[in-house]
Amino acid sequence: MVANRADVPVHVGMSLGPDRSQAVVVRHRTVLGSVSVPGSDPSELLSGIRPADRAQARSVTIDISRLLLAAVLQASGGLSPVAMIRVRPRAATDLALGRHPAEVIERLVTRRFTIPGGHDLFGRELGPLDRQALQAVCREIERDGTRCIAVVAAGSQAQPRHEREVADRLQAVLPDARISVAYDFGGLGLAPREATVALNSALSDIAEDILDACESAVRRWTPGMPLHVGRGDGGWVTASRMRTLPVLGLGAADALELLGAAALTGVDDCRVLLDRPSGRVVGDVRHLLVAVRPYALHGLGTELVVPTAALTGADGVQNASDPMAWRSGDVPLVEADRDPDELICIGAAVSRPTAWLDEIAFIESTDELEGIRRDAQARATAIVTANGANPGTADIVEMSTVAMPYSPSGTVRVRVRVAGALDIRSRPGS
Amino acid sequence: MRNRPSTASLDLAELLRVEPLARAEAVHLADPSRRVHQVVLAETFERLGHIVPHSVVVLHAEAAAGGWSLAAALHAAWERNASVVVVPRAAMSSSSAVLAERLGIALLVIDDDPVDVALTLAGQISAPQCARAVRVALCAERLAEQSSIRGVLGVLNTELGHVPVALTIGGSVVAGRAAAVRERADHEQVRVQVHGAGERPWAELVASVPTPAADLGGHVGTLLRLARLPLLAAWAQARMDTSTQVAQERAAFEMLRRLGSEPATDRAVPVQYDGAESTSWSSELGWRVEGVNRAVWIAPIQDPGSEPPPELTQLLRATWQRHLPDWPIVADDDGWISWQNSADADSGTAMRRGITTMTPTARTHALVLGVGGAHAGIPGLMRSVVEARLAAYVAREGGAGSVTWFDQVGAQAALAWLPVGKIAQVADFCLADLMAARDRSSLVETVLTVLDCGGSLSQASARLGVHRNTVLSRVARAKELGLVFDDPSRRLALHVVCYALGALWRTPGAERSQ
Amino acid sequence: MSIGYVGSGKSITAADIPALYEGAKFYSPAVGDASKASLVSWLMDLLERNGPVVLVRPDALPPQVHCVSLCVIGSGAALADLPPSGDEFVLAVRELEHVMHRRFGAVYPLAAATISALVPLAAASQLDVPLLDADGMGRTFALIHHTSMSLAGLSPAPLVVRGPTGETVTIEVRASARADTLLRSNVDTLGGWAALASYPCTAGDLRRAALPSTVSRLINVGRLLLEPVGADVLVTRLAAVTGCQRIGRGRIVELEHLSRPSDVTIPAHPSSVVIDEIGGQGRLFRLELRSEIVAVFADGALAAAAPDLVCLVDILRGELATLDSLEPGDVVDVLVMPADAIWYSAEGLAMVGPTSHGIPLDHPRRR
Repeated sequence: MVANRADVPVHVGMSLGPDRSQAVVVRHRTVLGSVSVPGSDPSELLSGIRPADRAQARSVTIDISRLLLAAVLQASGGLSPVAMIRVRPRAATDLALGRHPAEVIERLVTRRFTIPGGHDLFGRELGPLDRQALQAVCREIERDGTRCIAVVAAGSQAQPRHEREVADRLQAVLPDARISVAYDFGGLGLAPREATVALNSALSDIAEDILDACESAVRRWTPGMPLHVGRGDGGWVTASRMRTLPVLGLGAADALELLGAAALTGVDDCRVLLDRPSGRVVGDVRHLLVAVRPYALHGLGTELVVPTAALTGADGVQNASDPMAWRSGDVPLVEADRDPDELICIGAAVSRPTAWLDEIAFIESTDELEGIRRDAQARATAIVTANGANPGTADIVEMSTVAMPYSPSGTVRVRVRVAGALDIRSRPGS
Repeated sequence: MRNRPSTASLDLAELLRVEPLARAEAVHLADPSRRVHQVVLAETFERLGHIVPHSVVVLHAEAAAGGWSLAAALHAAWERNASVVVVPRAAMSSSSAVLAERLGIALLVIDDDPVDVALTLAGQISAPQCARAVRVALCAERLAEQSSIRGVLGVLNTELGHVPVALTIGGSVVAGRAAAVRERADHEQVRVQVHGAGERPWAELVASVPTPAADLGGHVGTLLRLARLPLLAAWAQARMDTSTQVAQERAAFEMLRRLGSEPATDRAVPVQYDGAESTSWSSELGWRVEGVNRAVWIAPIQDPGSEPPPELTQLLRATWQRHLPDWPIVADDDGWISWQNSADADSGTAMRRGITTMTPTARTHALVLGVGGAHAGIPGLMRSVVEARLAAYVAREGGAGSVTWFDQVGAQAALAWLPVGKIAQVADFCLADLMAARDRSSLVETVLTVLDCGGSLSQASARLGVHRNTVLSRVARAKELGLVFDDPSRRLALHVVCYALGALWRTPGAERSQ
Repeated sequence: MSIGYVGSGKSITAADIPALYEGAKFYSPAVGDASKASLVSWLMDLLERNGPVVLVRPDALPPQVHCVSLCVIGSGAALADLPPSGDEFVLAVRELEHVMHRRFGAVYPLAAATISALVPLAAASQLDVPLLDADGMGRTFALIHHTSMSLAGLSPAPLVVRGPTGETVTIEVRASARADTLLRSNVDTLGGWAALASYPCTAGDLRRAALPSTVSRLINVGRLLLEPVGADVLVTRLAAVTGCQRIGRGRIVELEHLSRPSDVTIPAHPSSVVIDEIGGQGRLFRLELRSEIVAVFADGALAAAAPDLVCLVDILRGELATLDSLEPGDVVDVLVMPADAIWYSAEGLAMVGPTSHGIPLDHPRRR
């Protein structure tokens, strides 16, 4: 057990929902207090926390994913309309290929443009960027007043030049536009990349409103208290980072629920069974971090390149005492039997800053591979530090490099996941 | 003995000691004593299917194409009971190391050209006597480079691998691996005498050769004989070094004694101590005397009557250097002095730890230890030395390796100083009849016990465990033979004589363990 | 344009597409789902617009009907990132028709697996011709002349590639093996993937040269894969339908790259996956990868090798684990399925057996 209670930091986890919101105060996986209010007012929630807990709290981590998801799924959710710009050699000749396969994205995208240009996956230019077409698009958007703009250029993961030029030009013409670019998220696949930038763009207004409310509530509650926002991979980023990349917040509730259930049982590696209206699902927690995959977000109706908790149907897993379930994973199976909202809050309170990198690289020798891996690690570490981790605390949680099938010899896909340490420094001066 | 010692097939350990495999990295060594009958240069997998047992398989070209090829080769080698697989580094992978271990196949990684390696190995394996001659020559070279006894034994043990070698003096192991002198069921011992100056036997090299490899005996003997000269040279060098140092230390301690005002020649009488300052020359030797000192006296279990042999001094010094480098060790008279220095009063804990370290050596070399009290400064050290020496003499009763603390001894210490041998000689003259009697030992024991019990026959019979009448009849017979202790003026003298005879006749404690 | 044919055929409707996709992935479990959304939605939309596509066996067509194979050549990852504009496959066929001065009455997949099994369906719908229930590989092999048609003496040329850049390359060669070499550099320049129309021949040729029923089986297997049943039940069912066997279950402990010498003719560099068996004999599996899994060693003994189809099932998720997303720590079942019998003939093994991947060992099924 914990030797000296006063040394173990207290963290506050919150989850804002459209109908009900909750907050818990957690010290080393133990719930000290819990508050629940109707609606989604963070001030009201924070005012319910006992003064004694408040005095000890070191940070507040908020899950806003339920609010974001509700906004996305509501037919008239008040999300801003998005203009989608593709940069690629040719526009689609088939209607179905010209639009996004997911209904939820199509609802958001009111205008579509294709500007000739783009690169292949290794950053080689497939054709020059058509600046005349770019001018025309700028004029068109300026005229129709769309302010949320998403840009996806082919191959921008490797060479973002065309994507940047389009974004810069648009920003120059429309200083108040909110422009999201695919390069910020990496990943593979036009549809998931497009969905990611479109949602990021569409969510930026509502995310700003939510985060404004959260920030001012926390400031009033305890000035100087650090505010973190939960992300879909079960980690967190700072509130300012979430303002620019709100799509990262989607899926946080699922991931944090897994994390919360695992944290309560005290095991760092386990499988967690969650109850969902559609049936039971199961997810993994490794080293007290949620196992994530890109394209894994359920309930949204589209795939994203950003990683979210890998949940699968639990039909093959009968119950926790089923020996089959044990044999297959050789880790304990945990049934999440607490209130889901509370588990989300607990997960938020114990979560850590994270970052993720998914890239294509080209190698000619195993030495070169080492260099690529080091380079990717360094960049992922820089990102997690930018996301709010204390410098020097980041460690590589997962790293894989696989050969890309049917690609030119030497093509590897590098994935890196990095997590910073939970902030255990003393509370900043208030 | 062995008819064909030099043509016996090589084993893996032997091959690993000569080029080119001496340069190989042993990823996994299943059994170094595996015989090697043949070398196979496997360029193709076809070839791997035809290897015979006890082969060295050197992978090359197609058969060394990458991680999978090594995995497949290991499997083939395992199926066909090959001795070892040798692979170029380019084909090595960490999972192959795991597989080699799992299959129990020795795996070596080379940076040299596999074809060259295979050719050289083929030569070595087809003419083991040549390979061994090369080895002997290499070994002789390495032996000659050694300047210490430990170095020489180190070379022998590295060279012979699974055949342990030790150097013994008077039956105790002074260097090398003690396993060599242990009698083991399936091992044969090879012994080579080492003669010092004037052809006097000085020491013995002992090697324990496993019976399955006994045809190596001749080879082992050759190496041991080769080691004699370097050993003697190292020994002479060490003796020269240490005898100078021993003399220097002894002189230094005498100086300390004088500073402590102890009359140097008087070994028994406690003296007056007054304050004395430590000197710079004692600290040059690494000695510390400020603060509190507690001395240990190390003595041979039997009073040698003279200085113990310099070899023993050398041995103790070596032990101290290895295990108690902070403790001085000084030869003095019939024993050795060591002491432990601390800044302030100690509880004896550090000394107990030191004693624990010394005890095995003491037991092996038939030594006993006495521990003095803790006293301040140089005079305190001198006092502790005297106390330790008294305690050590008492410890002799406990047998080899026993330890006595002065605090526990008290006045009994006086007895330990009796020159038992000389008194016994006196008995030969004064009590000739008794000494001639066949049952003298039980008579003396009985009289001694009666005297110890203040004349009480019943107490004596109880202590001896015999009937009172037996005690009575033995006392009567002793008196007849001249052991008349009724006269008070002779009683002390006779008591002392009986004590001395009893002490002398008691089996010397060397074989008695604590 | 419509072709009359003898015998009853089936047709593929929009509702079959998800199963077709999953089945196609099973027969070439190399590439992940990055392009799934775009392709599935495009195909479903096409079939809803144009109606079902007729699926016929080659022997159900008059033997003189001209047929052409279609496939995606290049990297699935490139296609995911730069999906088709929609006309690449049709225009490749049209260009080949133009070069050869003939009309094609049916299309067929060069390899009925992965996305290459889907695009001929799209083209068939756009061209309004039947799709043949046959292909040249029964899975995917790395080079375009690794086909049953090549074994039967048919040439892949002339052939046409059309890339997402809107550019077309026509290649005429005599030696089949040269065709692939000439193609690769063009494909890289065309954006990493391209639509390939090749092996122009007649339905009569295909009766003897193509592997039959390789398209319809994808839908059957795909239906199994779509049912959420858990890994153990899934593996049992797959075994019953496809004849696959589980070699073992284990945890991925290592991914090695450039683990053996590579040549430039085959795409994707050699890499290896090391799996520590859970339960069983605790063996160490070593999977050799070259776009597909080309060999499985169990404790150093060759347990399976190309042309066997080896795939991994992710135990925790109860679904196929694709080779571009493996991670150390994953627990997988290693499944092995025999390929079509022709690949185990001497000529077949010489073309696609372990030796063709630099592993000169006897194939386990030939020992």
